[in-house]
Amino acid sequence: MENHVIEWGQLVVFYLFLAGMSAGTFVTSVFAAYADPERYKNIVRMGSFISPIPVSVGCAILLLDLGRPFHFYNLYRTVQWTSPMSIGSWLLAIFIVISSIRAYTFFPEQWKIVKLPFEARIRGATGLVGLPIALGVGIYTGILLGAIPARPFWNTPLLAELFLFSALSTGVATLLLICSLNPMRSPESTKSHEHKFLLSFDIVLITIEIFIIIPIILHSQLSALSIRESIFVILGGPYTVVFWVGTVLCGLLVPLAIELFEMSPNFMKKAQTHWNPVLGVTSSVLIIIGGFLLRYVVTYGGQLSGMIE
Amino acid sequence: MSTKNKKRYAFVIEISKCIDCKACMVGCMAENNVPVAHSRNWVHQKGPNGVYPDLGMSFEPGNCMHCDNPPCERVCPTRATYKREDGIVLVDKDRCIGCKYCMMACPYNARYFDEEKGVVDKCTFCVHRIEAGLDTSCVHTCMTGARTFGDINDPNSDVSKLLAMNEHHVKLSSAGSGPAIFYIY
Ligand code: SF4
Ligand code: SF4
Repeated sequence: MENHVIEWGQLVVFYLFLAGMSAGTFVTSVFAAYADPERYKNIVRMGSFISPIPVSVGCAILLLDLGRPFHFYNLYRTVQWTSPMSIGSWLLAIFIVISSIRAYTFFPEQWKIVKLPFEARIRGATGLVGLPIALGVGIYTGILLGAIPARPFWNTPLLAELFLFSALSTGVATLLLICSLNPMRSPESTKSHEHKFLLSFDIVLITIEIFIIIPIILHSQLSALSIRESIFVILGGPYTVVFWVGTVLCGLLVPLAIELFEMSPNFMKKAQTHWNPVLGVTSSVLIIIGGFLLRYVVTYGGQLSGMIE
Repeated sequence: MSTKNKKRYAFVIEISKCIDCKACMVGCMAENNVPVAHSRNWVHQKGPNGVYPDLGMSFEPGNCMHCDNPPCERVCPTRATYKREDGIVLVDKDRCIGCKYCMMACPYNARYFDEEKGVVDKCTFCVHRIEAGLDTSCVHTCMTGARTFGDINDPNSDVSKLLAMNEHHVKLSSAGSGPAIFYIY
């Protein structure tokens, strides 16, 4: 009860962050495909391309963090319905398979070693099945921590929501970043409607995140003593600055302002968005860093919290 | 076998008897080969309590509470952590992958990570000793008799008698884990 040791460190933070980012790019890609696969061609393709990569790296990192990495298969010898980690391990495995297949269908023809039959249908199916799985991965990263009553700082259902929307936002930001750096831009495409699609989606996501953080803070003040005490880690405690300056200001408010500015011509008159790669890179990098810091603060802060008599 | 005959092992700890000598900790480390940096049991210092000049300190020994409804077991993804019929919660070292999730879930911070073996470990209620008809090591070493071990389903056991005669409490009852260490103040 008295001694608090950090047992889950940087590697877990990286893993939570990377899994979320993958889920985000996947969901964005599928949404774009449902909206209009032709119009948002680059988003659909890029999102699908990228989505298996961060999560695979994240899982490799997680394995390294286990006490006995070579026994990880024990996770797959059972399904424990009451253990978020067990459910999460299965979700991740399924997600990696589905997102990899989907990514494969978007490979340029010359890269494809095996030709898939019914490629268009397989692609559609991976989107349909993968969407709930990807959302599940995003939610699971929050429930993993949120379902632990022994750590009051984590123990709110809002944490799963926060992690999900933050995951989606880091996914969108990854695509925005690529869209801004734009290695393979087809002349006009990413400038206008695709840029607008990503921007509007992200503005919604960040706004939701802000409205999740506000009740978390308010609620904790009105809750049981353990929870009230635990919120100290971000209200005066060791992670106050990282949280308020890193996550909230630099990771949410500043990028939101930039994105609103980029969208502004669109609000007033039916003009295009501001297209400025510098702004695009700045806001997307800030969102990505902010998403990482959010998981850092939550993972570490929660381990400092404990129940009080 | 009816549930009445089922054993339920538990500790009763009499706080007023503990003098903070930590012999239980040393005894446990030796008995169970606990890695040097860790300990399976503890003595928490409480106080000073009271108003000057009537000040006092109390000491609260503890170890894994072998909960009725153990959160550590609930979250374990590999079924490495399990609860026996007699209430003893153990870690199967062959199944454990060292993910440390159970350490997050235990409200009492009763678990530690054994770096050498790469698995999580904790108090076993000295299962090897009680199965041989002995007391647990900490009970055996305690020179003031602050710790009592036994079957609370047996009305004639020492623990049952102590509980019947004294007001008792469990730690962090709000966690709802049903701890099997009962404290008498
Ligand atoms: S005290 Fe902790 S480790 Fe022991 S059974 Fe309860 S939750 Fe599990
Ligand atoms: S560290 Fe071992 S006992 Fe604990 S939750 Fe993970 S697999 Fe289960």
